[in-house]
Amino acid sequence: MNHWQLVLSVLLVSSAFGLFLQFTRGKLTKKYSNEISFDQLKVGHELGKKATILQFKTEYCSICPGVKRQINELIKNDKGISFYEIDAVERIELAKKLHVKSSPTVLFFNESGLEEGRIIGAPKRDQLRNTLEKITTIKMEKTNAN
Amino acid sequence: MQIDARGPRFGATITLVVLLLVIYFDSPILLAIQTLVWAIGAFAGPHKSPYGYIFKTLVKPRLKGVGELENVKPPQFAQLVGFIFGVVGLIGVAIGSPTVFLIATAFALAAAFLNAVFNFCLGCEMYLLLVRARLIR
Repeated sequence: MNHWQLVLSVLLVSSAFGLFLQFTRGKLTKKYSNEISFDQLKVGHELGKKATILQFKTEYCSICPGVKRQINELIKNDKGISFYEIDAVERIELAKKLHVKSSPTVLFFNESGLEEGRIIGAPKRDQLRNTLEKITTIKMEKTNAN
Repeated sequence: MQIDARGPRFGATITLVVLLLVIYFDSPILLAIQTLVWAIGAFAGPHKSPYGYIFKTLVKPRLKGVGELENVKPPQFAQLVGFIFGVVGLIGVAIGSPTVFLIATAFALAAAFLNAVFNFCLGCEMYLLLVRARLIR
């Protein structure tokens, strides 16, 4: 393999990886911890009345403060949604239990403390709003049914 | 400490060009210079590296708007990862292994490309995985 072939290969693989990340990051993905409830996790925080958001960060995560701001902005008028930020390195066992492998990872728990899904990477604003609406609507529907 | 988030991305773009030249000219000297730049970025901060200085004095005054600020630690860690790649590449030269030199440079090139084009910090992403694997604190 000559040098240009090496460069081309590196750039092609990196481009594919970068496009894959752009396509998959910031979107709601499947839940991993369906069997473990928020209480069992011993997070050390109270479960929100309507929903709970956990954001895992590390000190080397450059986009985490922006994601935190975005979530705080979105839920500032809704007292039923609790939001906590957790340092994944300080709580590494919790991060492992929840299969958190990169930061930011934002997990959404319903009012029963079960995970509804997660967003890895910077969430798109609409995605964040839609997810919260979905979780809180489920609660409203359940409340109405009772 | 907070720095302009556009600075590290600008630095990654210059690094990308330098690493392309390293591979094209098969030049350990250029890799040594780039490794020195990474060392300054890793140990003194990316804003104090030559690329950070160019950004601050020549590029930033010409940019419109105010850039978002970010903590200096993530880009500083990325510089450390680049520095490690650079040192491995230079060790390859020292022990007479062009393969090690090329592979280390190729990894650094991939990381710089992802940072410059996709704003993806490979070093920062690796951090949690390394902690999980108990390879670092």
